[in-house]
Amino acid sequence: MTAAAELRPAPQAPRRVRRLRAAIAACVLALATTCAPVPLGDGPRRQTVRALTEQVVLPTLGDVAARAAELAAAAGALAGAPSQQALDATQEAWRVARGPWKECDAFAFGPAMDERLAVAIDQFPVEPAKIESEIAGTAALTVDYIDTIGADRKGFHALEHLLFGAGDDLAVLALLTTDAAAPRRRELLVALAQNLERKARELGSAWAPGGGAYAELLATPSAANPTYTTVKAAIDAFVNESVFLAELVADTRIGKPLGLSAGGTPQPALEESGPSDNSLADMAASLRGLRAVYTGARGADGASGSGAGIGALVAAQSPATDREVRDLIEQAIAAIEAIPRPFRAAIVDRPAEVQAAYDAVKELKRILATEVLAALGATLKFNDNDGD
Amino acid sequence: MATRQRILAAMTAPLDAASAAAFRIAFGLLMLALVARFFAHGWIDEYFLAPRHFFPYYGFEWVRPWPGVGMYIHFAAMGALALCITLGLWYRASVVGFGALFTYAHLIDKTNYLNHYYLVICLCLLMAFLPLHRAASLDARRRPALAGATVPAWALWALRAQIGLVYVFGGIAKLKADWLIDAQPMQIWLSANTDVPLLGSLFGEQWMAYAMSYAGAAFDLSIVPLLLWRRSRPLAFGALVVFHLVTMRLFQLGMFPWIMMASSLVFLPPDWPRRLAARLGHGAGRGAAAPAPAPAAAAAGRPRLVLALLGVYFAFHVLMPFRHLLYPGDVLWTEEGFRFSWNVMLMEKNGSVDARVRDPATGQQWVVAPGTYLTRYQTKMMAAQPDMILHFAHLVAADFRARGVRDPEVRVDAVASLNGRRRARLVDPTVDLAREPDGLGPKRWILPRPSGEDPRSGVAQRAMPSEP
Repeated sequence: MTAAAELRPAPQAPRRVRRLRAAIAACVLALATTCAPVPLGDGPRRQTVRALTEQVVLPTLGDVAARAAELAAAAGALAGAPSQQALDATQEAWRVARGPWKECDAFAFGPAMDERLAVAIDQFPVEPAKIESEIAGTAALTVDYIDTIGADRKGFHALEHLLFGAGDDLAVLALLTTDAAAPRRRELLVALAQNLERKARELGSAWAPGGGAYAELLATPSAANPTYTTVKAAIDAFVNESVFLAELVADTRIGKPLGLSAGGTPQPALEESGPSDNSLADMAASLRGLRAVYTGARGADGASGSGAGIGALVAAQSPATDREVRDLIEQAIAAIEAIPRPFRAAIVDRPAEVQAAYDAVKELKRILATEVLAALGATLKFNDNDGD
Repeated sequence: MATRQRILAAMTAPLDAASAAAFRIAFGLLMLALVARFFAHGWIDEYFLAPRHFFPYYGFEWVRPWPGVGMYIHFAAMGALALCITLGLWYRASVVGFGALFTYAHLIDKTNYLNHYYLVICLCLLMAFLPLHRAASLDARRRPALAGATVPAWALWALRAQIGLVYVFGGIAKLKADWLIDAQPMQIWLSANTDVPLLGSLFGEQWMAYAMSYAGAAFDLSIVPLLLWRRSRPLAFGALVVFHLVTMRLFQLGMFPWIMMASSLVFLPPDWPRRLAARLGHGAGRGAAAPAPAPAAAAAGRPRLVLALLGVYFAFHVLMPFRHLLYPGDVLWTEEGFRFSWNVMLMEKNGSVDARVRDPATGQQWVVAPGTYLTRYQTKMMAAQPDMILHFAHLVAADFRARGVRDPEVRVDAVASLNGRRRARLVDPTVDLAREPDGLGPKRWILPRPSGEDPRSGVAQRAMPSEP
């Protein structure tokens, strides 16, 4: 093309046609933006979800399955040869398994709820009378049978009833050895522990790449994803669970036993892991799970992991909010750990310490439900309602 | 005098009824979809059957969900009436019936307030007086005397005004410091959508938040005149479609973008359906003889009365969005005068509320989590809206009275974060809300919005007043 030709104005389409073209182009752009199943960008939020699933969720679920297997092995040994040593080992295995399991509270969405695995593993309260009726019954107490019975007679707290519920270790051992129903009690102990292990493995498998691949579903939001069409939805899932968990720990696990909803009268029956005296450890573990999601780092000291958690996203928007959330998480864990055991005695004798823990967790819930939501543009989603 | 006559003549001039009929059909179909979504999403149970308590509008406390399957029948009837509107069958009765049922359902609980639900109610009220069934309707087929190829101009102008109000006041509401100076809440919303195809990578950029904030306000404020001006109309309508498609992708707005896109068709020339049909090779096009005034057009023989009534109606709607000026404080924070004012997609506000109950006779105290009384969705919506917090306090007080506490005091710990600011107390924690009356007057117990904070500066939150 010559220079003259380049300088010559190109013939123009009629004005109305040009307008129509512009309008069509704009509509096409909007439709592409709206509908196109274009692979989503690998932005920080997407990376955060990926990091959380790979470095927090899957390892924690792996720990749960491993600890549940150890618990099942210990229960088998106890049932095979009941002794104080075997009972101690099984009780310790129960407590150890509770740690990673309660950390899972921070991501108790997806398979835990959809496949009802959370209630099969950790229904509270259970019905001691119904557990005893299973022992008194005639059904074969197998791991498969446990699958068929209600959540109020299986899982961690049914095992807690068998391992801790008789008052003291001597009484527990007596029920496992000299009691007339001891053989069926031992059978139930083994079946419950094996079923717990099975459910823990099922949960891990539901998230794992080779199984249900829920982690992949969460980490790869797209228009074609049946559950998470946007990365916002995936972030929302973690944030919603954190808000709910902080509220659960404050109101249900601390406030109710303390009697805050009962006019100040302590309610020891509402303590979640009373017989095992593990309530405070449970609560601290739950908040460590929340911390892991927020900081991206697992472990008792919160130092294991990439650090790519929700908090990094919050910090990018509001550093002051991020700093305060991290402080409040540590303060809440410290306040719970400062409550003297047993919790059932503390709610009566040391209410100030328990109240301090309640206040600390409640403040954590408040900042999560307000500033963190705002910083992330997250939505507390209890339904699929519209907005404008 | 001449001007009045000209206005009168312009408003009563016969216009092609095709656009009015298309609006009726589109509205009916959209309402059918709206009702279907309530069934499909389980919202009838969730909004009307699952809650044990509701947040009624002041003066409408008597509006309650029907017992049993009543609400399902209610919505099924709405669906049937929406179909009748679409078909133009028993049009006026159908639109009145649909409007009444829709209004009833949405007066039950403030929790479910949405601007476009309010728009639907307004449109139903208008449509009851507009002859949108003269063309393309079963009514016209059944009663030839009713049929006509024209409608009086005021009918289309009434619809245009109603739709236009949404945009204009939506734009005016954006003329606030948060929107224009801090680009909030746009920054928050965009940063949550960085994975949107094509544009998402730009959504993390601050300039983009400013650009979209200003573009949004400019769009709302200018779209009506641009739609009215013949030369800019095609591009304006294209921009309108783009705007709503983009917002639909970014936000969960349900039927709102569809209602606005469909309703905005009334800004096109009244014969646009005929032109479209002609281009598609169906029916008479533009070249067909101009439609003659229908016999029924003579029924619009009380134009002065009609125009006077429309004047009163729109005067009310012009003043209503400004009523927040009668209240002290920032309307986004206090939400006094917020609803029914076209404050569309204007803020990111989240709250947290707990109630403390005290029996003055014994000194006994209770902490009450809202979840004890409310669904989680109600709790979320209540936590940031002071009038709902007051109602919550009243229902807690009523419950404690029923449980034997004669004169319970109810105070709340309510904090909220608005448009990215640090959280601050929303309600004075020392005030016994059980003794505070409900009503339309200013609520003195709402604490002022924290001022002077840049949402992103990390300034510490305002000191909270001490609790009693």
